[in-house]
Amino acid sequence: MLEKNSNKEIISLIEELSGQKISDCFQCGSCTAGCPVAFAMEPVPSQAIRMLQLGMVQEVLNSEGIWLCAACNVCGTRCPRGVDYAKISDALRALVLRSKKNRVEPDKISKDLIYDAPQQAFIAGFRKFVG
Amino acid sequence: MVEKKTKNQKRIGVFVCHCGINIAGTVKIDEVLRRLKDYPSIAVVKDHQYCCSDPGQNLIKETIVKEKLDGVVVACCSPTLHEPTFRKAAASTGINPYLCEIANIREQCSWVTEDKDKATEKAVKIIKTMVKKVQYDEPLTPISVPITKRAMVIGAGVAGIQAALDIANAGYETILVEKNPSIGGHMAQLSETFPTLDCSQCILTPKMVEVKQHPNIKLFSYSEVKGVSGYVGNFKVKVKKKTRYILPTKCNGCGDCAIACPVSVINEFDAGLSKRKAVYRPFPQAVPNIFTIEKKGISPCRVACPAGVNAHGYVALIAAGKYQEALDLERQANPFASVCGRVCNHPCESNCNRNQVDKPIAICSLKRFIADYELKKGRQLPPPVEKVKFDKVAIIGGGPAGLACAYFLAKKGYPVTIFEALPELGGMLITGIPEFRLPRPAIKADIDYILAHGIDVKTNQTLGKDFTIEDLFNRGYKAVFLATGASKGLKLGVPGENLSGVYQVLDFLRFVNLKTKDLTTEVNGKRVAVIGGGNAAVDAARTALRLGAKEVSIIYRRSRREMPANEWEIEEAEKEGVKIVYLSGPTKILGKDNKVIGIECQKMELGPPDATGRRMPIPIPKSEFTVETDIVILAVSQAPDTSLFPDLEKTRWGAIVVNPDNMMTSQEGIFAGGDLVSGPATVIEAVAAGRKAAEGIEMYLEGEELKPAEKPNPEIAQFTPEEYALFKKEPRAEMPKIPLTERKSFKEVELGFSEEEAKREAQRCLNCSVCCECMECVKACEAEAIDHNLKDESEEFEIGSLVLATGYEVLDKKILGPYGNGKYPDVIDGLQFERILSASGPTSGEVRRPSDGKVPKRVVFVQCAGSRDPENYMPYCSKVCCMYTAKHALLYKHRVHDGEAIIFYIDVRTGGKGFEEFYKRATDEGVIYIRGKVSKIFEQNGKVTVWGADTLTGKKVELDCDMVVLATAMVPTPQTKTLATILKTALDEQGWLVEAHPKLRPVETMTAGFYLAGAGQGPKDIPEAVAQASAAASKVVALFSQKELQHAPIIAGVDDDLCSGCGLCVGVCPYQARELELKEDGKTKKIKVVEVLCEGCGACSAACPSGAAQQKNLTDEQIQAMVKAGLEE
Amino acid sequence: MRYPYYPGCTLYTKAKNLDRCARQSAQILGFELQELETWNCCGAIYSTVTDDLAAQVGPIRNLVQARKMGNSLVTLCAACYNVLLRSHNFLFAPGNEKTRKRLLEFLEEPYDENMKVLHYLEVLKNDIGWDKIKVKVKKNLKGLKVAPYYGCLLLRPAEELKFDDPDNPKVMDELMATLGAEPIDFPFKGECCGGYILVNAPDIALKCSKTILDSIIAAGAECVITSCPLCQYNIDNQQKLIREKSPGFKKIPVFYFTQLLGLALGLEGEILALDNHYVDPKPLLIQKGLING
Repeated sequence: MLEKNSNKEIISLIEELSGQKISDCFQCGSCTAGCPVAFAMEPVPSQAIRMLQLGMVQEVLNSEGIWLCAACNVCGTRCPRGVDYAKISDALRALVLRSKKNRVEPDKISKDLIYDAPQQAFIAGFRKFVG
Repeated sequence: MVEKKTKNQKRIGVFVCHCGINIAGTVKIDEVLRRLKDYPSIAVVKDHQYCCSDPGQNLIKETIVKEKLDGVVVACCSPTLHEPTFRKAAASTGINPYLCEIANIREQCSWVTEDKDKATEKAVKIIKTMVKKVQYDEPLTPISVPITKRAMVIGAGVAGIQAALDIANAGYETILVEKNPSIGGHMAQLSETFPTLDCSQCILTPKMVEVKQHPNIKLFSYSEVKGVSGYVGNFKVKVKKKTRYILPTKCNGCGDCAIACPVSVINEFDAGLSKRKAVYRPFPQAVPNIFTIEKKGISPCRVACPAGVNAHGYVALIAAGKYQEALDLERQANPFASVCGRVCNHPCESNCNRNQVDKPIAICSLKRFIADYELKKGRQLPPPVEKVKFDKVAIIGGGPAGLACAYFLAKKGYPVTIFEALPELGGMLITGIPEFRLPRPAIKADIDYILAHGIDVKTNQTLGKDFTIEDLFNRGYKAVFLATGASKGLKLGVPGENLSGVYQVLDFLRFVNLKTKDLTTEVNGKRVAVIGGGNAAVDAARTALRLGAKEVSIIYRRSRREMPANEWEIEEAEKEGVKIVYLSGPTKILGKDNKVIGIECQKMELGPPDATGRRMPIPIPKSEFTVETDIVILAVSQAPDTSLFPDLEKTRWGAIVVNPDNMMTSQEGIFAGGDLVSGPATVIEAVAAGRKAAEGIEMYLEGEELKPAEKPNPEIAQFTPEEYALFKKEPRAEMPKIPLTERKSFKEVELGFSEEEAKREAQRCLNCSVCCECMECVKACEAEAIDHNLKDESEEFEIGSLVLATGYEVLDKKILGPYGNGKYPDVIDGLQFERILSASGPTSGEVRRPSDGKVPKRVVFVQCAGSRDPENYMPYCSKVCCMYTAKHALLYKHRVHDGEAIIFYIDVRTGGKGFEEFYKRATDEGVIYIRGKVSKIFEQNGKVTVWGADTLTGKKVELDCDMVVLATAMVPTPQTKTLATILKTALDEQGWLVEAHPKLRPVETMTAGFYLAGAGQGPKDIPEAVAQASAAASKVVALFSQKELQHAPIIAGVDDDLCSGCGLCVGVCPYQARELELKEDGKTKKIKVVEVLCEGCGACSAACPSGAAQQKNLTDEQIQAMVKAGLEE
Repeated sequence: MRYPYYPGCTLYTKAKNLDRCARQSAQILGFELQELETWNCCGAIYSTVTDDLAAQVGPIRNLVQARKMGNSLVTLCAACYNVLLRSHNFLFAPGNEKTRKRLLEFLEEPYDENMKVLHYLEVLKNDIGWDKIKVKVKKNLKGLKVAPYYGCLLLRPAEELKFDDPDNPKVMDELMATLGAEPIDFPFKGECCGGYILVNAPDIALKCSKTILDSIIAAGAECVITSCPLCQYNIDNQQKLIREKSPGFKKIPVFYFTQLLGLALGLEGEILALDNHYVDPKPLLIQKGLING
C-alpha cells in the first residue's frame, strides 16, 4: 500500500500510455457496475484503478482481471470523471506483453474455433494477448 | 475639507501592505520603498504587515496627521475589498476620502507571477500611476438620493414567502410575484421533511395564508416580471399579470367549473402522475384559492373549419361523455351535424396536430356519432324562436347555404321564408349526393331541426317563373338572400357530346337520387365511363355500379395526387371495382348511329402548376387511344345559372359578386352566397356563407354601418418535436362499413361509431390548446366568475429593492440515457415519489407504482442521478439528495412494512443539524446502503433491473426490484435565465444566480439593491433557503432604514465653456443621465447632467469631441499623466 | 453516387452475406460501393495505447488508399468502422501533429482531414434517406418482429464515433421500420457480445451472448440483426453451445441487417446467402411469406 512514490515512474508511464489521469477517479464504481464481464473480473475495474491510485502496480499487472476486458467501452462512456478504464487496461496489458509474456499461445487454440469463428476474433485476440 | 492645491503641491503618503506573504512573498517591499522614496510629490513611504488591521490603519492615520499629508495611496489588495476601509480611515483624519486611492499590487501583481523582480518592477509602476492619480484628484462629496421604501420579491416558494413576510413585518410594503397560479413552490409538493419528518404542507400552509392576509404584502400570482429600469433605491419593475379568465373577486373556489370541464391534461403538481382539468387549482390549499383556465392559443382543427365549428370543443365533450352538450356546441356554428358528419371534406382532420404523432382524430365521424346518438335516444325538437324582429327576410334556394342563412336569422328572431323550386328542401344534398353516402333520413334530421326554429317554407316556387325579386320587396321583404347554387353542367367542348348515352353528371345523379327517371335498364350490364375527377364523378361512378353497370371507369386528366375528390371516397370506389384511368383527356366521343360506342382519349403528362396550384396536364402528341363504353357521364365542372340576375354584377366566369364582409350583392338589400357565389364548393363552405350572409343581413337591417370582418390570425396551438415524440401512438378508430358484397344496393356504406368507439376515439385528442372553449365552465359557475374574453394585464411598480427567490427544478430524467430516458413508468424521480408519499397525492399516500398500481415490495433508490457528473450531466453535488433519499427509504419502510429499501450512493453527506442522526435512524430501521454508482437501469418482464456495484466488496451488484426512485439533480429553472437577462444579473455556467462574494456577501448580487434567497442561487435544503431568505430580507430592511442613499460622486460632469451642445453624449449615455437644454441666450444648447442617474461609466467622455465631458477624478489629463508614469523607466 | 468501399477480411470469407447484399442493395438504391484497389487488414481492434504506432499503420494505409478515390470511405463491419474512424481521429487529434507527420512520412503517401469514415447505415440514413428507401421496397417485411442488435463497436466511444445515441440507438430500428418490419426494443441493444475474449475466455464470452439472447427472446422478437461478423458469430453460432448448456433454450435466427435490406428490396436466392447461418432463418421467412419454401 501507498508505494505510490516508489512507483511514480511506472504509474506515469501507465497514464501516458493510456492517456488517462488515474487520480481523476473518485471511486464511484460505475465502471464496475456497467462492465459486462465484471462478474468474472479480479480485480474489478474500479478496484484496479484504486490499486493504481495507491501504487499497487505489480498486483494489478499480475492480476487476471485485466485480461478479461472486452474493450466494449461502457465504463469509459459512463464514467462521471472521464476516466476510461478500457484504455488503462489496454496500457496495462501492453506493459505485460512488452515484457515478452504471451497471454495466449496461438498454436494452443482449438481447431474448431479457428474453423468456425471469424478471423477478426483471432486478429483482435492476438493483438490483445500476444506480445 | 482641505482647500484645493495644484497637483505638485500635494503631499502624498504611500503605504505598502505586505498582506502577510500574499504580497511580500513575491514583491520585494524594501526595494519598492527605496525606489519610491524620492518620487515627486511623495512625502513619505511606509509599509505594514497588514495595513487593513487596526494598527495598520492607525499607522496611516497618524502619518497623515504627522506629515500633514493631503493625499494617500495604499498599495494593497483590490479596491473592491478595502477601498472603503482606507478611505474611511483617511476621512477620519479630516482629508477628503476621494484623495485616498488604492494601488492593487496583489490581484494584479503578486498573484499573477512568481518572478520577484518583475513583480517588484510592476508594483512600483502601479504605485507611481496611482500617485499621479492622487496628484490630480479633487475632493468630492457623495451625491445623496432618495429611497422608495417598497420591496419586491420574485418567486413565492418557501424562500420568497419567508423574505416577503420578514420585510413586510418590518413595516415595509412588499410586492410578491409568483409565476404559478399558487404560491408555495416545490415545498408544497413534498410529503414530509427531513430530518424531523414533519408534514411539509402543515408547516408551509400557515405561512402561505399569512402572506395572503398580510396588510403589507401585495401578492401577484400567475404573474411574471417583464422589465426593470432604474438603480438601487429607485427601480421601476414591469409585471405581466397573466389572465386566469376568472375574476379573482368573484371566484369562491367551489370547483364546479373543474367538474364541468371536459379537458383532462397532465397534472404538473403531481409531477405528471395524475391528470387535471383545463380549468384547475394546483392543490386544495392553494393561495390564492382561485381557479385558473389554461389556454395555449387555438387548436388547429378550429382554425381550419370554414364555418368556424369548435371541433376541439365537441371532441372533448364526447370524450367526457357529454354528447348532447357536444351536439349543441357543434350547432352553434353549423346546423348540419348529421349531414356534415357524413359528407364533410373535414379540413379539420388534415390540420389535426395528431398527424404528427400517428393519425388525426376522426373528427367528422365523431360529429356523425353525436347527431345519430340524439336521434337514437329520441330527440325533442327545439321550440320555435319568438319573433322579436319584424323585418321579413326571403331566402331563395333551400340548399345548405339557404337553410343555414335561414337558421341563423331565425335564431335571432327574424321572420324568414325559404322559396324552393323543387318539391322538397335540401338542394344539392338531395339531388347531388347519392343515398349510399348520405341517406335521406340523415338530411331530414338536420332540416327538421333547422325548420323547428320557426321558418316559413314555400316549395315548388321557381324564381323567374313563379315570382321575381321585385315581387318579394313589394310583398314587404326587407332583404333577399340568393342561394340558387351552381347546377349548370359544363360541356367538354369535344365532338360527340350530344350523342345519346351522354349525361351531365348532375342530371345523372338527380335522376337516380330523386328517382325522377329510372336508369336501371339503361345502365344495367353496360360499360360506363365518367369524365372528371371530382366528388361528383366518383359518386356517379359508384352509382353506376349500383345500377348494375358491368364496367365503370373514371377518366382523369391529371394523376391521383391532383384528383379533387376526397381520397377516402376514391379508395372506396376502387374497392367497389371502379377503374381509374389517369393522365388521359378525352378528344372525341365516338358514336355509331347516334349512340355512344366509346371515347377517344389522349395521354397527358404533367407540366408546371397552374393557377389552382395543381400541375397542368399537357397532351402527348400521337398518344391517342380509345376507351370502349356505352355511357359517358360528363363530370367536368358546374357553373351557377345567373341568367336570372341580369342586373347583378358578375365575375368573369359568371358567378355573383358580393362584398365579402357582408355578402351583399351590387344591389342594396340583395345578398347572395353558396355555390352561386363561390362556384361548386363543399357543404361546410355553403354553411359558412349562409352564416356570414345572416350576419350581413342583420347588420343591414339593424342599420349598423358595415364593419369589415376582422381578419383574425390566431396563435395556432403547436407542440415541439420533442413533445410530439412523447405522445403514445394509439390506433385511429376504423369506420365500420357494410361488406363489398352489399354494395350493389344504395344502403349507406358507413355504419357509424358505437358509443365506446366514439368515446375512445375522442380521448385520443391531444387537447392542443388545453382549454377547448366549450363554455361548460361558464354554465357551471354560479358565481359568474368566468370570462373567456379577459386579457393579460401589465403594471409597473416603483420599488427600492428586489429579492430573487426563483428556486429550482429537478433534472428531467428523459436525458438520463443509461437510466432509460424516462421511458420506464416505474423509474421515477424524487419529486414524483414525494407525491406518491403525500396524503394529497395521486395515490393518497399509499405507495403504489405508476405502471400497474401494485405495492412495490423492493424499491431501489439511486443517488447522484445527474449530480457529481461533470462528464455527462451536472458537475456539482445537489446537496439535499442524500437526506431526502434517506427520508424516502424510511417513509417507504413505514408505509410498506415488509418492503425492502436499498440505496445506491457514492458518498453519504450529512452535514447539517440532526442529519447524521437521521442517517443512522435510516440504517437502524433496516435501510440497506450500497456504495456504488448505478450504471444501468432497465425494465423487462415486469421487473426493473438495476446494475450497480458495491465498491467496498469490489462486486458488481445486479438487482431486480419493483420500482426505482432516482435522486435527480437540482437544476435552475429556465425562468431564472430569462429573468437574469431582464435584470442584467449574473448566472454561473450551470445557470444558478451568482452571489457578490462566495463567503462575505452570499445573499447579495453584483447589482446594488438585488438580493438572493433560496435555491435559485444553488442547491439548498429548506432550513438553508429560509435562513438565506431572512438574511436577504434584513439586507433590504437595512437598506430601507437609511434616510437616503449615497451615490458615488465619480460621475461625468461637463465643461460649459468647451461644450458645443452637439448632444452626442446624450445618445451614448445608457442611464439617461444627460439632457440637452437651451443656454441663457435662449438659442444655443448645452448639456445638463442628471447627477443622480450617472453611473460614471465614462461613455460620454469617450464620445465627446471637444473634451467637455470629463469624468470626475478620471479626466483625460489625469489618465494621460497616469499612463506616462506607468511607462517611466 | 460512388463511395470508396472497404470490405475487410471477414466479409471476403465468413461474412459474404453481409457484403454481397450490401453491394446489390446499393445498386437498387442508386449508389455504388467501389472497392479499394488495394487494402489490408484494419487490425480488427483499435489499439488505444498511445505509443502503439505500429497498430495505426494498417488502418491508416487503408484510409490513404481511399483518399485517392474520394473523400469518404464506407465500411460494413462494425469493427472495421470503429478502427478506421478512430485511426483517422487519432491522426488529427490535437497534440498528435508530430505523430501524424511521422506516420504519413512512413507511408510515403499524402493524406488530409477532409475524409469521412462512414458506416453503410450512415449512408442509408443521411445520404439516401428513409423515404427514398421506402419507395424502393418490393417485399414489405410487415409483421416480422426484428431485434436490432448494435453491439459495442458501432456505438462506443460515443463522443468519438458520433454514430448514434449509445444508450438508445435508433438507426437500425428506423431502417427496419422503413422496410415494414416491426423493430423490437430491448435493453441490451448496446451490450457486449463477448467479442474477442472468445479466444481466451470462451465461457465468459458465452455468458455475454446468452444474456443478450435471453433479453431479445423475452422482448418477443422473432429474429435478430447485426452489423458485425463477430457479433454475428457470438449471437448466432454460439447458440449451439448455449443449447448444449441449457437445453430449454429456444433458437432464434440472426441476420446481417443487409440481408433483410436486400430481401425487402427484392433480392433473391444465392445472393441472400441464407445458408451461412447456424440457426436456419428460412422457416421463419417462409412462414412470413417472404421467401418460397
